[in-house]
Amino acid sequence: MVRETWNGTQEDLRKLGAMMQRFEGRDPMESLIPLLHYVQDEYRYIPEGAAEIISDCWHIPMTDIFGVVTFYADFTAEPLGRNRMSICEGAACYFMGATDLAAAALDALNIQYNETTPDGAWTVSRADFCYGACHLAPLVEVNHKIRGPLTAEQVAETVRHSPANEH
Amino acid sequence: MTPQQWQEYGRRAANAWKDVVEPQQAATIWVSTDSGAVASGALDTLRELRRVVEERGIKAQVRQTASFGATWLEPVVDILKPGRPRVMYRHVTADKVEDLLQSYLIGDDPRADLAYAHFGEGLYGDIRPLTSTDWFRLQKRLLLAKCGWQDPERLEDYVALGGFAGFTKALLQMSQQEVIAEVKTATVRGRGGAGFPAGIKWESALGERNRPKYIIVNSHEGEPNVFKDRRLMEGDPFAVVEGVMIAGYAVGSQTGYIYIGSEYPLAISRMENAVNKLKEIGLLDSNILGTDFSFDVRVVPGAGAYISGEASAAIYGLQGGRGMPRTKPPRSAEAGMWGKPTVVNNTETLCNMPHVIKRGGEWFSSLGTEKSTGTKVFSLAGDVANVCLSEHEMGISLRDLIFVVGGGMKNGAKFRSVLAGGISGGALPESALDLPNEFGSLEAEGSMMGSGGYLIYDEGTCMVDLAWYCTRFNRDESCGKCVPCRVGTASQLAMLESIKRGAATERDLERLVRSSDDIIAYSLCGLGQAAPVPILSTLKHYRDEYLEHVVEKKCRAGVCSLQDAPKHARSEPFILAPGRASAGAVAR
Repeated sequence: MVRETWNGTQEDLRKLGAMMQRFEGRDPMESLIPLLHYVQDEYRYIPEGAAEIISDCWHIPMTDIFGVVTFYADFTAEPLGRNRMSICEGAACYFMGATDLAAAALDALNIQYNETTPDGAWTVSRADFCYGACHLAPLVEVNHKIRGPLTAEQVAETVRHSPANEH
Repeated sequence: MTPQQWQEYGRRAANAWKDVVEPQQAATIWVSTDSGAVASGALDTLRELRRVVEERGIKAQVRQTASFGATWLEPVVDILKPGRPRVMYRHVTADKVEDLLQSYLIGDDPRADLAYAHFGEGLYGDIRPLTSTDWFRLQKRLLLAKCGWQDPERLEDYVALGGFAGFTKALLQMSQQEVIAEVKTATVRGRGGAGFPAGIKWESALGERNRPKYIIVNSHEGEPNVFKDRRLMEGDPFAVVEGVMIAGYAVGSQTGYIYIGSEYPLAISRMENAVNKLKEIGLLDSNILGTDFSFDVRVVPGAGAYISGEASAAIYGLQGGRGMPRTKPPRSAEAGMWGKPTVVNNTETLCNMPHVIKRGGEWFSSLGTEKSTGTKVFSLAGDVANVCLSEHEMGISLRDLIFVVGGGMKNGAKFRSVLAGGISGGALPESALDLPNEFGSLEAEGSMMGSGGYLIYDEGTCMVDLAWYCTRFNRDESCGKCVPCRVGTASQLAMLESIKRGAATERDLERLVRSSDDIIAYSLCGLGQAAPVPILSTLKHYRDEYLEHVVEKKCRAGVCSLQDAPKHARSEPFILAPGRASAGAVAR
């Protein structure tokens, strides 16, 4: 289990309060998903403690909040790794070797898709959408940076030379 | 802002633009920095350009722009020297910058070896004109006309190039009914895939008494390898806002939402920038240009679900809920966002509106074909030489698109199939390539133009694998609300898997067809209704390949494992024994 980044401290409450402040005067339901993006970016998951506060302040039932969290791929109920790799399996990348890249990364880290390494260093996921950079196929996105075209060896190398091995 | 102030703004913008495109002293350097170019290293190129220009004291202004569409040439840099044609350079990575500027701006060698084409006529040195290149010569650029020229973050550029002429004409000179009549004359059909006429949608929303009304720009493209809306938002964000404002005026709405997939961070920030710039100068405000029309636009990110591109799912997403489509009626024009009349239009559809209003519906409908007017932006990807974005009049054939614009197959490989219209489209063989690209034409062969994203495959691709891939995508992205889609896509995936493993028989192919018919007939929304299309189209055009899998237990592309095939079936002499139907015969 990856260490949680939300501890309900004064600092956490202050951060969440500042995020919610940005939607002052706006419809709470229309603001929920944009707010959850801020929370996910900050904590790498949607902490239950944060959701409870949102639920209380904005009068949105917890079931609705977690209904949204579990429906959309951008939100997770468990902390993601400090590094993210998304392997594009778009219809160009898939047929140009994306599955080999995926196997290389997942084998090197000994995890499955959408899993996080026990030390919390890496999460690898499958991107089913389009990065709009098909001229670089097959490509991966590492911490919001697109890299391609890559070979399986290069992908394995990327995850090996990472904080994952420094603990 | 008053109409007089606005005219003044336009004059200043036009003057400033002259310095960019008709420079007297300093050169103009453009570098495209949309997300595709950035992935190729365009930001490093930009940094290096600025450094070299400053350190070497070169008289030049360095400007950012969005991709011209030639994504396979990224990073692209364009240089315009005073009195010379603008030259487009390809693959200008940071390490080539100093050499290029040294040769052409300090010296006077235009470096034909680094250039792709130039924007003038005839030859410039050894550089050919852009209008003679296969990629460009068939294009008709309307929506992409400003891409590659303007800085997408500068309103001045957009206005100097004729931006907001459509909106101001609609607002100051036309009634709501006249705007809608113009759009109906133009017969602008929805560019998101379904092709529903936008004018009729607007008309029914105008007729609704219920208030307030909403406009939603569906920019939740979400589909693998379809990136035209992304490029439009990154390259011409003000055009999208202008389109929404025209729609808002026409139907009497005061609020527009631009709903963008969260995987498009640059598009989101460019759209936000566009909205903020317009608010700053007071064009997006209450009582716009002194009229009683007030309008506000909000940019809202999605959260990573393909189904959010479906109109009713998009509305639920904007309302902070799970994006699960609902049955129709009521249509969203009657009851959409918060139960109020709502127009949901695709990004590209709305980008057409400024042109329709500015130049008239008659003019617009003279472009394209009878069934489908105007132009269409296409994205080509896969095993094609030129992975690119291009814009053509409706009606261009698939063959021209792939073999002229796309430059044919990569590395001289042999064409096998094109997956037209994205994941919900169908795979087409060589024999279908002469069909025109318009609404309703590719349907005859079991495919569709859809959103205009085309994937091209060579002979190394297994068509069963392609059907499996599309089905897996649809299973994963099914929202799970209705049974035919949720269970149907999963069971079809299992059937395709057994074909790939070699465990299936010929009867399984019939089961695939039957279950496809059921899923199409009983699914609630477009995702389910289109989910079996890749299976049916591959079965139609590539049945022999399926039969090879189920009868001969072989995969000609060498992709499928066929590990569960019965031992005896693998021995070729048995399969090809005299009297037994060969795969080819069964196919017919």
